[in-house]
Amino acid sequence: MHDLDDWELVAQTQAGNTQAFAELVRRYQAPVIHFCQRMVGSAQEAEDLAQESFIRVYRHIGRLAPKAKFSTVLFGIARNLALNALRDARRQGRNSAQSLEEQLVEPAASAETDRRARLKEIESALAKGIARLSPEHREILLLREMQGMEYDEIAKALHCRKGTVRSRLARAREQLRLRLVELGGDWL
Amino acid sequence: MNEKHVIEELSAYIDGEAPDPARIARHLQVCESCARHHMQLLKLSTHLHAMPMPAPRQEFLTRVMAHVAEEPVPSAGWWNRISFATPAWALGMVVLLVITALTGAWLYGPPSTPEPTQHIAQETIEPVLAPPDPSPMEDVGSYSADTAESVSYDELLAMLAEASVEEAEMSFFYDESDLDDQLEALDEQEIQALREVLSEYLQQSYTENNEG
Repeated sequence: MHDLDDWELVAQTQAGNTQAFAELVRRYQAPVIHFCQRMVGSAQEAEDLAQESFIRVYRHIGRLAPKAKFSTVLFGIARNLALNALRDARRQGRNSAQSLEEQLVEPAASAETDRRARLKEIESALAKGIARLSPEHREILLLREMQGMEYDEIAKALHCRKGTVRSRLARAREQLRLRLVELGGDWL
Repeated sequence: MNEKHVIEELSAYIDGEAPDPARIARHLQVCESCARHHMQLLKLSTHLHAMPMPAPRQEFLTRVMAHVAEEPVPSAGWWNRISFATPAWALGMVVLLVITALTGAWLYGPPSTPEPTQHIAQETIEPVLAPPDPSPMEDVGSYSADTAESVSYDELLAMLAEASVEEAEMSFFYDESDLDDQLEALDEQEIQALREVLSEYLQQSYTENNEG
């Protein structure tokens, strides 16, 4: 099962092999949960969103065709669910992304080495910066920088043009760069 | 420094997506401000790549698969079967044309005298449903001569619209190249395949509806 590519696993799932789908979940659970967590903040909510993403893919798997990377389909769905969750949170007056920021800005443990402490510091600064981006900037930055998706794939996942990906990503990076500069560290 | 700064192009440049990378590279060699900005974006990118990705809890997979077990067994849908053989979006356009024609026929209803719109509708529907002879508009919903009951326009429209909506959810798989050219590129065999599969789909939906 490990040596099959994603679309071969999809084909096996379509043929009724649920173990093939389990392999797809194993392959993508970490990045999808991570993406959702960076998008919405709460770890528990991120797991719920990731779970729902996989279930939706399974529900539609009979109609999936290899027109794009499987990960594009999956992250496209996860992204829609995350944006919906953010919208709901905003309506209810919650700011879940802020809660992630607060979790991660705790000071590094004193027992850690300098190098680890510095990495932790950078991670906290980045998390803080990412959490303050708009959802549109946050999602595009995560898909490109953390999931390594190409512009074409991002355009498909976000239902926009490649030119939009180029300009929005440039703005997202610039916003994050400015945030880090504002925070005053020497990370850049 | 007479040359235009390239800060706005640096994001695409570091991703290998800039339209003229050689010009940007030349500028970076002579412009300290843009070069510093470039270095900051590269560092930012490196830091982001290095951010740890926590391992998921073991129960996650179990939880997902427990939900999956409650879902109906998936099967390759009618659309998938044809989309592997032909450009999916082009076939989508054909389905759209059928829906449009049906909508026209449904909105205006069967008139006493034929009008161009209905000719188009009937010509489009007829091969899909494959009736033996040209039928009056009221009978277009019949799936075969043996079917005792006709399917109303509303039901037909709902079935096709439902199929279309499902495909729209997956629309990001479609190419955005020239639709007209691709549509014209469908050969007789592909069009026939579309007719057969749509006919089968409608037959299945009709049977399911009747059983339901």
